[in-house]
Amino acid sequence: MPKGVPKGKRLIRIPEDLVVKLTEAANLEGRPFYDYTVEALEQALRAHEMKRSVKEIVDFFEIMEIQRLARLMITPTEALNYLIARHYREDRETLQQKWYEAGNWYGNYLQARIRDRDPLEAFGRLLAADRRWNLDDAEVSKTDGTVRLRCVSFMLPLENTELFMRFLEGVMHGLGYETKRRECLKGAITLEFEKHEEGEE
Amino acid sequence: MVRRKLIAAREDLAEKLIGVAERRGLTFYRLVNEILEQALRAEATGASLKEIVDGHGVLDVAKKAGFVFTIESLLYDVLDGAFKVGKRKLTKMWRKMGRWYGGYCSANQPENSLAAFKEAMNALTWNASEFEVVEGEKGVTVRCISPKFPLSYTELFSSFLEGALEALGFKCTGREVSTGVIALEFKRG
Repeated sequence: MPKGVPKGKRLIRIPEDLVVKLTEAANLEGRPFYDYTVEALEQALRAHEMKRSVKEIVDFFEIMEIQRLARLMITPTEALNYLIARHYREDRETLQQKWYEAGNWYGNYLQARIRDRDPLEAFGRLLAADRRWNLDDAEVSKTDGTVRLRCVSFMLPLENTELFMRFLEGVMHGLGYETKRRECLKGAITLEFEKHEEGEE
Repeated sequence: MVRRKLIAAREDLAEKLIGVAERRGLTFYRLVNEILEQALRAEATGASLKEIVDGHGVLDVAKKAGFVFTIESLLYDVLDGAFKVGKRKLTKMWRKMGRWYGGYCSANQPENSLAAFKEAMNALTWNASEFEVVEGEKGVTVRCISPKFPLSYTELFSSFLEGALEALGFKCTGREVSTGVIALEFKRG
């Protein structure tokens, strides 16, 4: 052990600029530098126990902040499925329209909120993060001006799948794309879009 | 060339992190940098890394317990219609779901089930302006306020809470529910 290192401690080499920033952050919180860094390392181990890296967890938190501000809420699946099944039989078109409008609002919201990167890329990240929730698979790809969106959820009833498809269309229209192709089976959605050109009707 | 400085860390933590770095195929230096950079990134969001990791744990549990994300306004819309014609059935259903969730918290953390429930609900009620579970000598009070909640959701969410607290071993002794406001009192059953 290097000379001067207290028992039970270990010296770690880190970039000087990082030390400066960490010192500022610790000072702002009124905590000793040592406590601040040890807590960060402890949380990294907790994250690892959850089978995630700290970066993944902070990324997910940022995404959840977007969802929270977009007024998403967390609700029991059973209740949501029951309500949708019940209403869908009676008023399918109204529900589809509402889901579309909500999606459209969400697309506009992303367009207005995401300024540091492409909102479509951000939406792709949101869908990918949703793989930890509703979806088993989600992918947004772009080839020759066509955006392909694919979502799979083995547990999603047909009604929810159809509504989710309308929601996705609403989002993409809000982001300035128009639908080229759509395919919907129970639990599986494939949509293709292309950018809506200015002046096009 | 990057100038480096030495910082001290607990040896047991460092040992564990060396193991993590090996499993992730990173150098220890790179892993520690990543962690500390993320701590600063977390700080910039206004939350500490601990709060973020705590929240993540709660969301992971919620997913396993069958919760899902939905657009608040859409849920209220379909709920309002259904509530007008099927209040009784829906109330029963939400109470049952609450019981199930309370039982889930009990099964997962038998020693500390109320605290686990409280922590989970604090994170899951992010759409409420206030949510608190206060444990006193005689029992527990639960208060939830949100100007956005319609009466239908307020009523059903209060049934969910009652069901959950019942499963945690409490009996409802006081109930005040009006649009956007829930105040419940429980004593140990």
